[in-house]
Amino acid sequence: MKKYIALFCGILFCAAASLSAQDWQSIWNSKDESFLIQVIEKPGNAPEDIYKKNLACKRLAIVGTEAAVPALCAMLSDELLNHNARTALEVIPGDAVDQALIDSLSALNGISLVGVIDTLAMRKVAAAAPLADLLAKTEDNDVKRAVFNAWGYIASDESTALLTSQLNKEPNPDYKVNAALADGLMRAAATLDKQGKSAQAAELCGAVAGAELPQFDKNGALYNQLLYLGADAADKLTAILAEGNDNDFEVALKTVREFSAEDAEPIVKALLNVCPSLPSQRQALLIAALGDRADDVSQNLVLPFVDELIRNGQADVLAAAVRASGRCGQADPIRIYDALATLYTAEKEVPYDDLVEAIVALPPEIGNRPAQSIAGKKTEELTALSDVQKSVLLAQMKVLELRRTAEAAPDLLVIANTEGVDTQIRDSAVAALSEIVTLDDLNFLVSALEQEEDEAKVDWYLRAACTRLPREECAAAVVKMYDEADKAGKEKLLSLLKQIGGRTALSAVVKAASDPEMDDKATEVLGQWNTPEDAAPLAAACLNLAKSSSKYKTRAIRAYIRIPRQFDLAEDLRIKMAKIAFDTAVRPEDKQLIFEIFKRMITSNSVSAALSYADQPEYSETACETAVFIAEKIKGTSPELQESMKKVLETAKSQELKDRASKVLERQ
Amino acid sequence: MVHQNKFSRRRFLKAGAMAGSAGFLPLLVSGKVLGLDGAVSPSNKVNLGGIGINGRGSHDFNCFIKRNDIRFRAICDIRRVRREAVKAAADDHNRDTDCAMYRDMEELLIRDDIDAVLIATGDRWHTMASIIAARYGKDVYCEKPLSLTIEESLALARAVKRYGIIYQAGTQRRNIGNFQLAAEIAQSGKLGKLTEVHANTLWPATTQNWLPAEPQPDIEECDWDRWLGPCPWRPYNERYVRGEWRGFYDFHGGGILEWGSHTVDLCQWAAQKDHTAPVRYEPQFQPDGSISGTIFAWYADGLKLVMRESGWLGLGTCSARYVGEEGWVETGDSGRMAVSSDALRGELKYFGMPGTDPDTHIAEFVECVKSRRTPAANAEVAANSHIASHCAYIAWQLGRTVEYNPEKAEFINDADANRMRSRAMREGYVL
Repeated sequence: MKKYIALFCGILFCAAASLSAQDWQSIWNSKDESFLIQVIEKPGNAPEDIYKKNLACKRLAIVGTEAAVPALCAMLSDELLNHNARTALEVIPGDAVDQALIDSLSALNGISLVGVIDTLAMRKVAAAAPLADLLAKTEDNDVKRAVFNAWGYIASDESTALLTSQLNKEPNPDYKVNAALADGLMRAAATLDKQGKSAQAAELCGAVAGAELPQFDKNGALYNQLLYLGADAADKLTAILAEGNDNDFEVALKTVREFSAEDAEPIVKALLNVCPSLPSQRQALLIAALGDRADDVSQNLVLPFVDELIRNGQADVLAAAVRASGRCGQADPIRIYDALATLYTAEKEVPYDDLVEAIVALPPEIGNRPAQSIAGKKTEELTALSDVQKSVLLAQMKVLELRRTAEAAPDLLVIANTEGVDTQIRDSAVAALSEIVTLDDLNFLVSALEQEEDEAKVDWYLRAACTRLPREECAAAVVKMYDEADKAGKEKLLSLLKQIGGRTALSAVVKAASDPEMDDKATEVLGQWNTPEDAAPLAAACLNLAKSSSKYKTRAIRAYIRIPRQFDLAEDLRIKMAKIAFDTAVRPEDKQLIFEIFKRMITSNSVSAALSYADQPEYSETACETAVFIAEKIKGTSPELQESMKKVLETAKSQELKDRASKVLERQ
Repeated sequence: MVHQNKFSRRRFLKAGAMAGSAGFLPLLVSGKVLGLDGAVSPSNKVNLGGIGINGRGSHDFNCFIKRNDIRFRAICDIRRVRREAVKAAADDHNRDTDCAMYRDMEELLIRDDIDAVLIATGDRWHTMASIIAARYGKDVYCEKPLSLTIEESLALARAVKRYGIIYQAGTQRRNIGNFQLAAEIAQSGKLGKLTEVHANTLWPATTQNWLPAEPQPDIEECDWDRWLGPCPWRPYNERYVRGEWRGFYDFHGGGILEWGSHTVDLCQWAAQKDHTAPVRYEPQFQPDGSISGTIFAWYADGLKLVMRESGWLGLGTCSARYVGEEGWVETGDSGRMAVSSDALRGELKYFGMPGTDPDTHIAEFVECVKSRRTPAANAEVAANSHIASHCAYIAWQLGRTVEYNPEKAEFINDADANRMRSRAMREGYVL
């Protein structure tokens, strides 16, 4: 835009620092309307003027009254300031603002005029007639679009009638103008619907859907027309689903899930009536959509229908029917399960996810059927599965996993250990085991993993089991495994112990830290410990290591510093630990890390604690920077904070830090 | 033959170094078994366009294009270098040179061979670009946060409804296992009656500063006016365009929204409050009187929402905690979960999927584009959770309690707060 190019020429002569406006807070924090008016009345639209006026207008948006309106309106004709003025004018309450905006219309043009019309729209000013006058005179398509949009926002009887009258006129060569008209009409329809005038809303959308407008507008109109019609949409909806083109079918399909429960009965009945006559792809989509309806009326109508489809095994729509039955969840469970079981031999393909969803949704009384289904399978059977059989078996095992059917563990172990079994079958069996085993039969899982060569899988399954087993007992079981493992196995188990957490696990890792074979991994794990309830023993162990170990001194002190930095401990304890860490650390770069602890606490105590190191030359600047960092985040001020900032001014070497401290000091 | 091994740990205990199997997910079965043999007919592919793809958007882009049922056809970006980079990646993936480039998003959106768009611009453009896309009838996957104000949130939800499109906010945790399980536990009653939900948020503040002016590049290299979009004009500085726009009030909604768009959303979901927002917001203060980053909020039924920066168990970024009368559950982006008792521990599951991964969320979006089902992070639920974050930030800025009426979308007897519900847009940009 030319105006901004011209503006940019001005910027080149501006000092960068002037734009960062050190005094912005004096404007931003002002509640004095007359001062803010003075700022915007000051002549000039150079960048630094715009900056200040922008801030003043933002403040006037909160504290301004009708008294600010003349000064704000005076900015409207300046393209560089129009938006800033409207920032305030859009929200200052009062009829005087509305009238001033209407009055300004005749004096504006181009983008400034568009901006004011937009603001009238946002304020929902009853300006239908003045905008009609404007529309009649203008050739500017941007202005036309703005007027249509505003009428849609205003949505009074008068503005809606004006919008409707535009539909009968010759379409504008610019499709964007026509789209704005359609959008305005649909906004008006939404308002009518909200007012309880659904029939009128539907009529309005019907007019848009039938007009010479872009297809995307007609789609939106049709979609809303159907929803506004509610129960009365049944005939139109079924006609579209049966005979409509793909575009209209998609639009109508979306509404199937969205009709209100009150409108459901006639619509669902009509849809189920037409469903068998649809092409199979449309049938499947419609059944899936109906299955997603959550209201009782729909489910009671849909379930017998899909039940019948499943019983008949109609292949084309079986997946959708199974999914719908799963979603509804109240179908005849035995019949559905048996129907699914027949797929195993009937070679009828149903997507795995749909199978799982359907079986999981079945009630608990047949929950053991998947377990019975997998019991006693022979090697020959397991190693010669068709794709469909495999899909069903995978689904059955997934269901056992999701339902955590503990009695299935022995049979899952058999499947997992069957020689020559498909990898997916085996993985699924072990995955289910990992979700099923208890502490007492953890051996099943470990036994199943005997055959596993992929150690990522081994790790996954063990983590899966340990995630849910009782913590201390599980840790004890893993510690027992640790005692029997070789070095590589021990390393893995140390990571697993970290995942489990708790006292038993921590004790084992601390013990390993003094084992010359395992100390590297164990100290690494200590530095990653993530159960805050272990903070006290963890801190004691890390501090002890930091003092006693020459090899892992650095790692241990960093692990210690991580505790107050990361865990939510009491403020005084965190400050105390920071001081201990500072005194214990040897390397300056480790001592520096304690300032990160202070930065996590936005309090004046933390500012003081950081500044207590300002007298040590090596840490003075970091201490000051930390104090200012925290102080900047504290809203308001206090005598303690002011004292701290004065100390920064006395101590800091960096001018930038001093400037920041001064700003905090100036703060009210 | 079936191995009937006796209990033995030997095989595992002798485990050697881990081989690289980072992509392993035991829940996956092959496409063929699922009835997806990998070949998707062109007519069943979703034709995707991209608007503003960089950073997080590149991650989303990669998740989209690796799908067999997606064809990426066009990119719009105000920066030439980004247009060309995305085109190169798309063409390389598609093994052709067909990906079109645009500087003006409406030229992309008017194409009738584009079904959906991925919007990953800066936050200032999220609502506006989504509304423009909706007006062209395109389905939208848009990165979070979806809005900068309460009014933007509402306008977006209205536009999605007006055009009947599929909209998925990029709040991917709604489709990630540990977050789903935590919500399920909260909803199941296993925690007893829910009393509090906690959302991990960041320091709320933003700045009104401007960066120093720099020479404005040629419009084809970088269209600065379009970059600003609906926001107030300010002079060009490359740092904004490179991604350093966060923290500036005009472009960013502050730290509560930054993570609250995820975590407050998670809390609303877990508490089955997707249809509403809290009615009272109370900023908390330090003992020395300075304001903290913590906000307490209450729903109409008394449930408390705590938005806080610290005090988390270290389960990863964007943590959420649900507290009931009989227990609690907490989870975060690490995928790990913590609970108040061993009894609840039995409910847990290991997912191993980081909370930042959008794969499953994108999968749900694509499925919804095809089936026309409304996705989990649809515009209405996302608008409500964003409104909760906006209200909290308004309370924080005012430094006092505010009360909000979700039905009327207005603060109660609070003119100051009501004026902060929206921000005027530059000329030509309308919600």
